[in-house]
Amino acid sequence: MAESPEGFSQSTSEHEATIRLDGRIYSREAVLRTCHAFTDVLYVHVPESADSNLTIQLRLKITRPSLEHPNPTRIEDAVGEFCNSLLEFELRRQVEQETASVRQLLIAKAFSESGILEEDPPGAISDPVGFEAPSSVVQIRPNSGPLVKIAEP
Amino acid sequence: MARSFYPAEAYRDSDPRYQLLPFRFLRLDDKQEVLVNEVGEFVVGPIGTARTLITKTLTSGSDLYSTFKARQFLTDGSSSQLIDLLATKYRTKHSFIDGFTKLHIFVVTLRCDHSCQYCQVSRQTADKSAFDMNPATAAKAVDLMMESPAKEITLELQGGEPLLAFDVIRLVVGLAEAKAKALKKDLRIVVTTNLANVTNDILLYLKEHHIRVSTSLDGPAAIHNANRPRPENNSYELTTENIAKARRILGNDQVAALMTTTHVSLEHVEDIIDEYVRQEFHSIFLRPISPYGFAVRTKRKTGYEIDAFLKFYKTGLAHILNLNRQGYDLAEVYAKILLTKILTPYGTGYVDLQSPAGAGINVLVYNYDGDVYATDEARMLAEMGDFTFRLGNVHRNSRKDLFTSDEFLNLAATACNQSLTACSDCAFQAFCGSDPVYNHSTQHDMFGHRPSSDFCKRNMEVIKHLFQLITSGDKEVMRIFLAWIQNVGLADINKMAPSCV
Amino acid sequence: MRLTTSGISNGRFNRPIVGRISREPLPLDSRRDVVFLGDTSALAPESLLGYRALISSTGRYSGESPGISAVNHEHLLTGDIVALDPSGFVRTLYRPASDHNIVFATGRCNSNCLMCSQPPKDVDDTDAMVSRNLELIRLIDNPPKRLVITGGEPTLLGERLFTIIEALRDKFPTTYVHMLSNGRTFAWPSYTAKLAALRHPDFMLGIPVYSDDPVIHDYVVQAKGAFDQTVLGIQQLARFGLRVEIRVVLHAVTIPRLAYLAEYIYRNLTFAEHVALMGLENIGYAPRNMKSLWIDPADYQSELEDAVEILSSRGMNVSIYNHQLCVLRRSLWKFSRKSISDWKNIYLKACDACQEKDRCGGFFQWADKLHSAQIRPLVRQALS
Repeated sequence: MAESPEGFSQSTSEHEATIRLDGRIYSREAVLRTCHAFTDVLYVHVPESADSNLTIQLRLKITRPSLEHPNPTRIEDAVGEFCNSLLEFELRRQVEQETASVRQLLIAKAFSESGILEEDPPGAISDPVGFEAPSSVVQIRPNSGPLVKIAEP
Repeated sequence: MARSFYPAEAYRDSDPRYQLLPFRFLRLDDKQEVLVNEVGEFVVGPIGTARTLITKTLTSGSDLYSTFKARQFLTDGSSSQLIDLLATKYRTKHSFIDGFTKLHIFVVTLRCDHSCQYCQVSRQTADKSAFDMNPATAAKAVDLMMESPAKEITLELQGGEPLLAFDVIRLVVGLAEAKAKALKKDLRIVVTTNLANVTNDILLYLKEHHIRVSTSLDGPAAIHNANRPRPENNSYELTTENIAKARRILGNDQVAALMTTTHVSLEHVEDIIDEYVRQEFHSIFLRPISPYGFAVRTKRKTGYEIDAFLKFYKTGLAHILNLNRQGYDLAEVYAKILLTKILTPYGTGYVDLQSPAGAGINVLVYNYDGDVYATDEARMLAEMGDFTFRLGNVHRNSRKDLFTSDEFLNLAATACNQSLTACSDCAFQAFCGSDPVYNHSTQHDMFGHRPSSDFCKRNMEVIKHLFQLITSGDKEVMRIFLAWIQNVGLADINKMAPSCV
Repeated sequence: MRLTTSGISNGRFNRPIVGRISREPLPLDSRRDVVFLGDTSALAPESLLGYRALISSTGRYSGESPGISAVNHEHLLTGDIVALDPSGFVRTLYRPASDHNIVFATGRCNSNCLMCSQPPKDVDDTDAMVSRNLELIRLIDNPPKRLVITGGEPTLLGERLFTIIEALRDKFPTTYVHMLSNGRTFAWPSYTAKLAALRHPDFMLGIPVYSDDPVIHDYVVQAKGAFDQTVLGIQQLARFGLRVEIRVVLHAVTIPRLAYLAEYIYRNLTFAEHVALMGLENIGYAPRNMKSLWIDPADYQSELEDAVEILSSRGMNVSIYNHQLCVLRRSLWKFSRKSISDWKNIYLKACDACQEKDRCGGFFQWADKLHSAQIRPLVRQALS
């Protein structure tokens, strides 16, 4: 079955189930996306809740075997899959949140006329001799200014 | 003064924390999952790998950690983010956008001598020349085509049966060549024809103008003729005879064949593939039947479940791999397109599996009457009275009009799978595409509903299947895949790679 | 094969002299660029005038021209170009008879690789090296097929490196120039743009990347931030249309992730014209760090084959350098090149009986101290 200690499901009938989740652990975003992912198999209803907990009502779309669907999904399996998916969508939301600005920057750079590889890289170029001696007419100038001798590690 | 040496730890950042870079993940089966970054680089691992990475419990210094770092799934203090590197790779993946519309399909006539089960075109008989493209339309369409910023233009002559309107072809080709020369554009021409009406004169003309032939071969005679009836019920015989003729005059590599899958084909994938071998073709495209035009109307005859297609596809692919192993080079085109996206830094120019969608952006269709459509399928919808994707008409509209039309703007709003529900979370986003025309046709909604989408299910299952093959550790399968991707034979790869001793 | 010798200077010069050797006396009007090597005591003083310098093969030369009495001089042939140092040191800069001539740019380096075969000298030799190399180029008569610019890190000459490359371009446009560099300076787009602007007709950079993991690469090259600069440098070079070869030295630190590195090169450095996988040279810093570096090549054949499979099956050009055929898997023989410069190439006693000796690249001359435990003569197979 599902590994979701904070959520628990109750099979209310052969074809329906209710899941209650702690809204502090499962974001609304993840819940809604998970619900959407199951809308080929389930009817989903998320009623308003007074507290931070979320209630999800699930009802199987196909309850009887037919020629087109000889083995319809059972409610226990649907709920199990649903809970597994919930965790995954929550993880996805975390990644999205953490990487949103980098992603925007990436795409902006990729589609800009210039903007890639135009800047000087981090750090500097130098060696233990450095570039201060007058005879060494080294002119590796970063765009931002004169060379800086980096300290030895 | 001698320099000192420092141990590896000196080059690790003292802060062991890491930050995530953008990626997505999904379950491949009940044991493994795959993580894919923005440019299609991937890591396959046991279920829970993504969770470990995301919850920041991955051990810094482990092999897996190094791999994630190298493939730009995470970044830490040991290296700057190398965002410019990632952006360069992103650009490479999306270079198919460069130049905008590169494929221009000209429907030179609707007339046809066949009545194929799955045809999405009006079945006009040979004497209705009201369905040919007239010279004024041809001229305007060629002008519009050449206004595309692309340096390389592909002109695809279609129909009906285009060779029935050979005079239109001559006109269009003449105009296009002149314009291409003046604008210093590279023009490639292909004609999709059933070859039933081809003559030596036509073939010589095609040769003179470097026009490639793409014909239909649905399988051995029984299947081909069942799918593609014509008055004497001899489509197979004519086609194969004329393939040989065309090859003699144009050269083997200038004649390609496509198959269309129907209810009849589903049980006979190996026979169909064997027919392609018998006809000495080296590529076959195991396409699903498109849900447009007559196929929808005659659904009972040609409709089938997605599961049946997947079985057909996997069986076919296994048979093809065996043929390759036994020394016959045969590439499966759908796999090749996906494998190019999965295994290489490049994207592909295949308009039906792109994000942003190829419709309008990479392909335009100029109908015999001057109407301009976003894709071939969009034109087929129009045959049934649905003009949702008609962008304009060559006689009334400029290029600017076409691309600022409501029809195009609606299309553009749904063109990127990055912003479509479920696709935005999908690990296969970089390999798949979006097809608003398909969604509209099958689900009456350009955005589409992924959980019930055949387009989604098909691509997901095929990509998962390919990942199973890629991660199987079978070196020969990888070499076969790489041969397909690089358009060479397996023997060529074996020559390039370590010898089999 | 000797490239250096040392003698006693006559004290008549205090700056290095570059000149072309002649073992035969020459007429007066041909002596200006020449270093005459011979029995100076047997010739009249007038016949020794006008040479750039003299090397006496016998006794001391104490005349007015700059001179060194060399102890070992058999290796010096007419046409060789040498540099004479006021200390008495004689270094061969160029041998027309050889295919492996190098242009030594500078002893400085901003990396400090664990296995560096030419450990850096922390001395500002910019002026000396630039003038020496420009004079060298001026003195070479016939266009060599190829030249390698190396060091140290040549880009530490800054823009003065470009004067050397320009001189090569102008005088020897048909000579292929290969430059070894850590690539780091090229991360600065303005520098790379200037190199590209030279438009040398046949120029390629050989740049090492030792791991896909920045920590491991930085450790091998002993410089923090080097991986980032090198990778960005290679990106800039590609952006400006310059040709790049990737080099990897195979040892205990680079072997474990070699297949991952191959993947990394394919995905990120796809435009690389060539990938060279190189055996370790037991010279320079390597002996000192051998405990961290040594792995018998016979023991890494599996990793090597995986890496070669990844690169070659994707269409990248791969070569294996500095490996012996008895140690290399047969499946990899086709990638093995006879790459060891003539002047450092030897074979071992065990090789006398080997039937593949002519196909095999042999060893570096310091390999008699350290080599694979698997060295053994091979019997030529019927079909191979």
